[in-house]
Amino acid sequence: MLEIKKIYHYYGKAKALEEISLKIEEKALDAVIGPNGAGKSTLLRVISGLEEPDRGKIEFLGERIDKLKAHKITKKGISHCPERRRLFFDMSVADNLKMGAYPVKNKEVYKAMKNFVYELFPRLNERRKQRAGTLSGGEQQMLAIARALMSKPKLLLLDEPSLGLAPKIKKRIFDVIEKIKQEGTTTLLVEQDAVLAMDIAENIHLLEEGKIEMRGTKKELEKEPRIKQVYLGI
Amino acid sequence: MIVDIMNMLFNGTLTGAVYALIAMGYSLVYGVGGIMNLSHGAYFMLTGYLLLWMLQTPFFIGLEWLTVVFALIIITVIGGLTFLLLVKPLQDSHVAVVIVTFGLAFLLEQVVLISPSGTEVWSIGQLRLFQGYTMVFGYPIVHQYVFLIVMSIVIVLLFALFINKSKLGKSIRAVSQDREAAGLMGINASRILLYTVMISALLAGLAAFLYLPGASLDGPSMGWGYLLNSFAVVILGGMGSLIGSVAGAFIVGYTISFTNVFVPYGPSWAHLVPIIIIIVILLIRPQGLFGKKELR
Amino acid sequence: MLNLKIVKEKMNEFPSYLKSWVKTFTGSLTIFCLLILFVMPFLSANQSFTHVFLRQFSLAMIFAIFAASWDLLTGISGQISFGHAIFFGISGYICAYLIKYQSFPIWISIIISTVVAVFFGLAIGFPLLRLKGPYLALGTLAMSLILLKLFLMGSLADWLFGSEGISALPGLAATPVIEYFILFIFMILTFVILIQISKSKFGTILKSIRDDEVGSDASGINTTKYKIYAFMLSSFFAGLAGGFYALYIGAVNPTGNFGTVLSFFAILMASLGGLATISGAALGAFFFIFLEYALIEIGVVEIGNLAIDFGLYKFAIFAVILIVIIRFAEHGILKPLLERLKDLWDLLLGR
Repeated sequence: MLEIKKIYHYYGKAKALEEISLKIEEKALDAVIGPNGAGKSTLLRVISGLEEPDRGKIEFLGERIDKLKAHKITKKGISHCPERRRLFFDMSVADNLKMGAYPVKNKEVYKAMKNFVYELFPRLNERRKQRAGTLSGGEQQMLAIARALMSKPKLLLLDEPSLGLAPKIKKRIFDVIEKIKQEGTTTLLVEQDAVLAMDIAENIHLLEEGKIEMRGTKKELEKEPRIKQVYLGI
Repeated sequence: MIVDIMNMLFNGTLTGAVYALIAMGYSLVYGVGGIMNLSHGAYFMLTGYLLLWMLQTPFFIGLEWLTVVFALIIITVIGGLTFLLLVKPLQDSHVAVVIVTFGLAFLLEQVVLISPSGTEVWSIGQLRLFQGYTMVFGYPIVHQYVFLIVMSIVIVLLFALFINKSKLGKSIRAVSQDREAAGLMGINASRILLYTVMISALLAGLAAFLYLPGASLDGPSMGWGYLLNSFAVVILGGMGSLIGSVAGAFIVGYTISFTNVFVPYGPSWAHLVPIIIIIVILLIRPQGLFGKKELR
Repeated sequence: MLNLKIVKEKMNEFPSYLKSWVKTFTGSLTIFCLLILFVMPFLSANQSFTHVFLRQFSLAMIFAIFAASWDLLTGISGQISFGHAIFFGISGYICAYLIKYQSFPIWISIIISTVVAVFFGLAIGFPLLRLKGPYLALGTLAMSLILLKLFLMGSLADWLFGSEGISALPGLAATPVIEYFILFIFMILTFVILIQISKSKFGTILKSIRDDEVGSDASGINTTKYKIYAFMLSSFFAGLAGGFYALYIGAVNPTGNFGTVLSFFAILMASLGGLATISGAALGAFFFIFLEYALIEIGVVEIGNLAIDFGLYKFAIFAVILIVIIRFAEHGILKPLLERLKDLWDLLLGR
């Protein structure tokens, strides 16, 4: 579905991504793990068009998208739930969702998606008239995911959904991510919390200093001593 | 005494109503795109002259109201072109945007100045919807100005409704809050900015159409004065805040009219009002009365 | 603290520095241009030549000082000023007032008026420097518009000589040739000082504030202090130019000395030459004065049925030039052109 071929990206002279290749199959749930500053967020930003890669190709459903602007890529069916949520804090929950559904022209589809996300996160339904800025951290993360789902994406990019959340709420968010996957949305998850990510992802990619160092299923990676030591803390 | 008070109140409301329209768009453009458009005052001035030129054309005799439609369309298009041709390519540099819009304001002023009607004072009184006045407590309340105040309030309300309720209005707010996130929603921020600049030009044009028929065209340099006062209004109200611009407009309006009426040598001091407001606000509350963010 | 030893060393190095500078492309070109400017008054004994051309060159020199002062503040330090006419005009008015009504000698008047301009720089800079970027541009523009209005209209204007201003001032010097040389010397001094400043540690600090104010602040630079210095320094030279201008014209009036047009001129000239180059301001000023003169000389041109008066359209043409330069060549046109020439020069010399 998504195919990344030898992507390079620089911030000025600093290298952020180096020869990244990645393939995501339809209906898969992939995770990219790695330490802070490894380039995980940059990878998502490059896919969703917030940054243009300096070299390399990205294909989505057989079409090149690496030169497109972010808003065009969203319309092609990739939805990016960015780091630190980036909600429209002065707008209500309902209006945030409405903005999420910006590309959706069909009213029926919009209603169906709204029902879907409210079912996924009943809390948001209770607070739909509240300003997004007044929500708790966990609720804000739910809203960010819900907003990204509103455009009915074919591919969902999630950036650090667990950031700054209590363990209990983290767990709840990850349950929802699994559920979204089961509903058939292809997902690429970027996560620092390797334990959580490896629990739900089918394929795991380890990104370190801008390079993919290792990849495989949970079972394969669990055998690697380095992963055990550094990321799983066993 | 009561005449003076009436004078102050009425003129203050009038000035406030005009500046609410001009400053609202100016502030919106800054709030949404960080664009300081120095040609905003020139849009107001140019609309007045566009109306004058069309009224002088034989074609429009008997079709005076068509001139209003045309003038508003033209000024909206000029606003759009300003954005597409000058501002959008230079958006990354604040310095370049202000210099280029300053150049445009200057150009528009010069174009009007070298036109045959550039150097005299003109009236476009044909477009007055209401004639005459009513004496209230010994002060003449000009009907056209009452119409202006009512229309200004209506436009402000409609505009607030548009920004808060319509999909385009909501997208404008989304872009102003987080441009990058808005892009991720599939919103084309550039296009939203284009619409915003066009809307702001339209609002300046509307202000000119409502105000100038009851006043006069004092020459092409009048645009600078309107730009300056709008700047004071948005600094006072807080850049990017709509309530702020409206409240700021009336505060500035009353301050100017109060100075005019009650302060010795008032008309001279009234010129100083905007700059005093700007400096005082900057010293005590740089984000303005209703602004959230500090000035960038 | 002034370190005398370093100053002494610099003084000793100076001749050799000058020698090596003259050998460079910019050095030899500058010397060449200055020589031309120097011998020009002697080229012709023709009266009308000295009157028309020398006067134009003198004007260009005044504007070169003015534009360079703007470039120091906006180009080098990044503090956009759209109200440079304030310092220019205030100084001109003070100078004219002192000479006409207090019978002060010309040079004392110029010194006092320049100092007053610096005080204005301080007084305006202090509150307005809370504004950043485009806000500062508008704030300074607001200041100049208000001063213009105060001098032009209302009851205060009567105290300030009204729209007529002050006229019938003595000239800067007895003859245009002497005036020319006085301005020539002051222009050279101004540029030597401003270019040295921009290359000095002080200049580096100003540039770092321009490029990253937050970063400079964080690295311990008192940015407000330096910005105020830049404001004062810039108003000093703008004031100097303003005083000269008043005497050059022989009169001051609100639109002529405070008009938005003057700030616009400074911006246009510096942008023509290339922002943040200082020397570009001189190139821009000479080019600008030449262009203005040419447009007036061309006068009315008939194309088919259309009669275009270039003299009348000159301001509109300048505005278009400014817009086009900023839009398509943000680094100006004259300075980059020289760089190209330099490459050619190096190629020819086989360097």
